[in-house]
Amino acid sequence: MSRYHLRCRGCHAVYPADDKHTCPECLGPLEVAYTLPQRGLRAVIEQGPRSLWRYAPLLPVDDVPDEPVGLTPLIHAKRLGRELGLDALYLKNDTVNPSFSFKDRVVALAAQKAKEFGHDTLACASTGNLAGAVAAAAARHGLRAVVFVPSSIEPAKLVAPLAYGATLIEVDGTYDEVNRLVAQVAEERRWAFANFTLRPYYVEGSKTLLFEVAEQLGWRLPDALVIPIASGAMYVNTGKAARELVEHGLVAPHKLRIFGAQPAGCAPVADAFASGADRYTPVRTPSTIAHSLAIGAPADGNAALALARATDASIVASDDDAIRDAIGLVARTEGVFVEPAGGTTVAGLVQLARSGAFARDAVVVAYLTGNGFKTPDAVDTSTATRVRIAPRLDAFDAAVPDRQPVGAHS
Amino acid sequence: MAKLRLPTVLRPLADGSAVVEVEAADLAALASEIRRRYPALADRLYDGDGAWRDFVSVFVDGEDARYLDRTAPIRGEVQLLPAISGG
Repeated sequence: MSRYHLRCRGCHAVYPADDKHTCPECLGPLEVAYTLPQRGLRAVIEQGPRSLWRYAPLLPVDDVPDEPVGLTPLIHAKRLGRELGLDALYLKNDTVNPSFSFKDRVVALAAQKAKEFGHDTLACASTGNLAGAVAAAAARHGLRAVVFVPSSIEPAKLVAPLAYGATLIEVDGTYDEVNRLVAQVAEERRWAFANFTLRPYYVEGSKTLLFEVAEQLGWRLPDALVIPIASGAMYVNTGKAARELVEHGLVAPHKLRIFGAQPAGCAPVADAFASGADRYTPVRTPSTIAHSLAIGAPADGNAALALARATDASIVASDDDAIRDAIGLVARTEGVFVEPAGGTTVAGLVQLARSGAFARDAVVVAYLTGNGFKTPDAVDTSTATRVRIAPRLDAFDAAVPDRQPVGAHS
Repeated sequence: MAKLRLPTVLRPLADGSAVVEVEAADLAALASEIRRRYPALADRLYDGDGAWRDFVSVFVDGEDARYLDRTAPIRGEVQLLPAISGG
């Protein structure tokens, strides 16, 4: 009996774990389900590789590649925590994955399954980070990469897939239009589409963030998470990860509140949360600096709404100015440079902390999912100290006067 | 005459066709036409009230049907897709 199988999220029909993503009965999305809880996994995991593959017993793969993805730092953010009145604030720094975003996690699963299913081409629709992750993973695995992106995304995110050797398809349209095009292409080409045809497996990679957080906290769940929402897949699968950690006896049952963050310029899920609706209304034309969160019709948006309510949490939106301020705040206090998606998360965290959502001693973890070096134009440097001088000491002294004479320093 | 383009998973319900020619000037007429010619496909697409089921994505001449009412004209093509994932 296989350790895992596919199950329809709509009608709960069960299928073998093969190369399928849609339920033939109701067209619902398929997701991976595991047959039996496993015991004694802590020791197995702790002796595993220094990567997300240490959690392979909790992932739907038949072989485990040797690949340095995941196991990123969990930072006890004391300085940012002081600003927000939180003594146990942690930042999961996923900006340091191989292609500098959390997408390396989901793509690790997709690339492995692409190989297991015998594909030679790995493709995706992307707001930028996924394209880089797919291109990098395809290069590592010797696969061809074809990535589709909106032509409006940040320049650095267009360059990276090319550097990794991918075929880049720039589409003049929104992400949702790219998504629809790729859904059509996926009907016609026998390629592995990471976030379409391999989606049941791809989304499982999102779980590894919480697996790592739980292990890094000493095998326990935090009190609250703050997570960015684009398609909602990471958010929803974080709930699944929490359930599986408890089912496998890796952590004790614990009330975990899972908060979501969206940019106000594309906040279909946060807007629906605020209005009390069960279903979101799609945003037709997103307008935000957080391009990687600009999905107007998120696939898991309604499931995310339900999860926020079920965990006694909320989903908040922040405008672009607040996102820029938050990028600066986490950079100045913790030395982590995030892209606008990370800024959206920190802006949401700030909003929640200042509204009293967390107790002072609550263990709060925010996910920083993408690297700011990809999006330098999003940074507000207008108040930064910056001088340009001639290469002479007097010019430096004039520009940066030191009121303390040399020798007075201790 | 409009074209109805079907995803792989629905083609067995339309005699294996990827594209079906339909006499339908708007979405309401399309529903009647599908019900008449392919009742099993209609059951898969529409709920008891005639609304699109949860996991069907519908595009009329490239426009997401969620933004359209049932009298919106169909000029060329209706594309059916499973629930759009992505992201």
